Amino acid sequence: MTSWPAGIPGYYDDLGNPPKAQYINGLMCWGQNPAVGGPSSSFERKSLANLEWLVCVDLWKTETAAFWEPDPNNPTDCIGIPGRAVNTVGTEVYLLPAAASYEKEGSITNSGRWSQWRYKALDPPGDALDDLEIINRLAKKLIALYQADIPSPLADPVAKLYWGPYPGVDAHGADCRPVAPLSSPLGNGNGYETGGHADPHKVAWEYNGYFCTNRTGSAIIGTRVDGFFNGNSALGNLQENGGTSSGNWLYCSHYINPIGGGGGNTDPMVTNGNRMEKRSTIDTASGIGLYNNWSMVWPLNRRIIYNGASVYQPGHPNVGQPLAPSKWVVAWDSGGTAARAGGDVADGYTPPGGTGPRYPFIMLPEGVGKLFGSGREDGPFPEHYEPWETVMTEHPLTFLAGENPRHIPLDPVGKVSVTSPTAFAHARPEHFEHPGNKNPDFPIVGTTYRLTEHWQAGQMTRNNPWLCQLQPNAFVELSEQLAAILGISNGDRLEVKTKRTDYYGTSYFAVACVTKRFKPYSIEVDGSVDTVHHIGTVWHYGYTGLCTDDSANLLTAHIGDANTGIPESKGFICNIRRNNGPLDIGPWLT
Amino acid sequence: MTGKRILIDTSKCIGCKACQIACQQWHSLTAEDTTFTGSYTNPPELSETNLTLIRFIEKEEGDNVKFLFLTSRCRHCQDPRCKEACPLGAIKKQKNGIVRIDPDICDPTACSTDPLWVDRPCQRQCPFKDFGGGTGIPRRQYVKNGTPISGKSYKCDFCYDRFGKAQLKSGKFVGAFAKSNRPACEVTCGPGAIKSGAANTMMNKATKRVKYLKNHGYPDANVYPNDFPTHVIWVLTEKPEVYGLSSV
Repeated sequence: MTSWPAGIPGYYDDLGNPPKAQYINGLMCWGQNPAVGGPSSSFERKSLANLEWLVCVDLWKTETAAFWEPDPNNPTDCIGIPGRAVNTVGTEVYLLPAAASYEKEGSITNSGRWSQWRYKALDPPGDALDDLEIINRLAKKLIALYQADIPSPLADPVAKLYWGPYPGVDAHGADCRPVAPLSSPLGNGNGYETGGHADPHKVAWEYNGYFCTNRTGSAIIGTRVDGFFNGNSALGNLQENGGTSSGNWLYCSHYINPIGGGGGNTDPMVTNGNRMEKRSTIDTASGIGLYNNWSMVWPLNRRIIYNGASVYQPGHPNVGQPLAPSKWVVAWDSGGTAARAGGDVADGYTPPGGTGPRYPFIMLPEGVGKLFGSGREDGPFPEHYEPWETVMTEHPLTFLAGENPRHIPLDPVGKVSVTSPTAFAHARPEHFEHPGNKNPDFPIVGTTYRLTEHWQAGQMTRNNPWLCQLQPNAFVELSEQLAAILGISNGDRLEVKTKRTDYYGTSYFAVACVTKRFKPYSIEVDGSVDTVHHIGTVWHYGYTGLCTDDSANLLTAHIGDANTGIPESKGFICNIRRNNGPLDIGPWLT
Repeated sequence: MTGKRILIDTSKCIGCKACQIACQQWHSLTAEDTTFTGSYTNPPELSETNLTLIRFIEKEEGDNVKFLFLTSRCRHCQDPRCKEACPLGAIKKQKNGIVRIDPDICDPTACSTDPLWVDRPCQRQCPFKDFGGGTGIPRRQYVKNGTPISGKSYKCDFCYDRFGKAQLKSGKFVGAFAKSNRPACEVTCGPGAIKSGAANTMMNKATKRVKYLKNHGYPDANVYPNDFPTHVIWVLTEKPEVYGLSSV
């Protein structure tokens, strides 16, 4: 799951008790379980109690949905927030039962941009609904509530939200949508529904786009657009004159006209025009795995973006020819003018004499790739930084600020920052002060990871008895050498502490897994060579489901990548000891 | 050898345990109670409800550590001693080499009253006692809700009931199966470490793979068991004793 974007101003937070209106006071948690999956999860759990309302949409009752429930070992306290009395939590929590992937139809887009259609195998159980229907019902209700309220510009974005042709709702396009024919997703008066239920095909149609007006030529109102590029020169594409509508230009060309249904282009491989259903396993081009006709890829089925960079550019004698002929992606023969069949959808190459972009990197003003990457928070050149929490006090590779123009000198000698000076770190007391100060209380390097047996925050797998059987508990992997120093045997209960567990008073307990796969290593710290011990642990567990245990995210810090905020919480410093109960507690590492 | 064979290539296994779950799912076997005891091997042993099990072995070689995965299960001996040992005749060997225990005939009260782990003739006579404290492969015990439960003897049955009518009738391997007609562990195995087919074809495949591995960084690669004809064989990247396996 993604991280809680904790550094964003206005995000809900427990610091300083600010007026609630400045902060987010309601949360819809859709298939997410931040009480387990979020870094510094004690903070996540504590913050949930600051919400006025919380809606969890999931297959099971997650730790997030159950944070307020009585702890079986201490029934006056919340199970998710030790020390917080259950009767002091005012958060109204709703749990909406959701449908699993095989209980709903629709598309899913992966990180390779492949938009693949999948089908419904069976109905979800009981009152459970698919996400699309939940969103549909919520939207209709919200729109009606805002419409019934006093009109205001602030209410308009919801009150006038277009959600299918409800009478009086259509705020943008009186010349367009109400007159769409019945065959369009918008023409039957039922919004995005078919038979009283949200219909993914209608949503796909809306995303793809369609004609709102008749044009000179063959396109008629309601027929679907073919794509977006060169809007005014190609008849079937998106227009920039208001004559077409599209929910998301990236998905133009994904849901084109059905064969025999009128309109513009069709695809012979899918009679209904839904190209996300394409399932050809033929690898065209040079067999490098393009699979051009398996599903659809945004934009325009372009499998590899900037693929024009793989051919000789105009001006070269071999213009249009692939730089690596045996691995060609796109190629132009006859002097760079005739596109070779079977290749990828071209990006960033225009045959000699044509118009449009010539250089491959079409999104950059220069059209070419850059080594000097301006615009990045952490500098024009790649640089190594230690994690926010580190046992290093000096940068291991770069010693003087002048060696990298983006390094910030930290002292008069000009030492460089050991951790990223621009990392995305919310200034909270459970974090170490920037930059990574070495702390003798925490001499061990820790990291967290996942198991093949469990999936993310565990709702899908910790409710499956077979998978709980395979990996029933959280565990800490450590070297034989560290185990010998601390008197730890395989199978002992371990206690792990970090600045977070100290701050929130929630220790992390897990089973010891003494392994040859972890070894101590030597690094130079402050000019002397130190032996550093390293542990690893898993974060899938929580307090609901069939197998319960602590989440290792009790240990991790809310640190994000400088440019995107992508979590970089997996490295931290910690300490461990044997703790098999009050009568058998070992020493911390010193 | 005639009949079928399963080939398990440890050089391809990634230790994901999908075969363990696929086996339990196909055979409708219940999950055991387990705790993490310091090893990825879990449950710790083969049992009545875990007919196949991946064992995780760490081997140190100088500065390198190898993490080895061994899927262990019944070998389906060509000459099954368990079959000879069963006083009720509950263990049958099909013409295609599959050795299976008929749960309708197996009756533990008829062959042993010993409450200990190793007590049944089929277990005693099994030649493969490398794991489970010297127990043979058929198992009759598992743990549920903290209590050991003991019942009939169970072991891998080669998913004989996935082969379809024609296969059951003819009783021998004919041609290539549809993918879904193969053992559940093979169908689910992502890296393709488990393959089934005609016995000789599988042995040729194993020998070829061992030859390749010997020339690609695994000088100790071998086919196991090498001295006892069975319908389940392994390509091991290390010597059998590294895995805790011994010769018969």
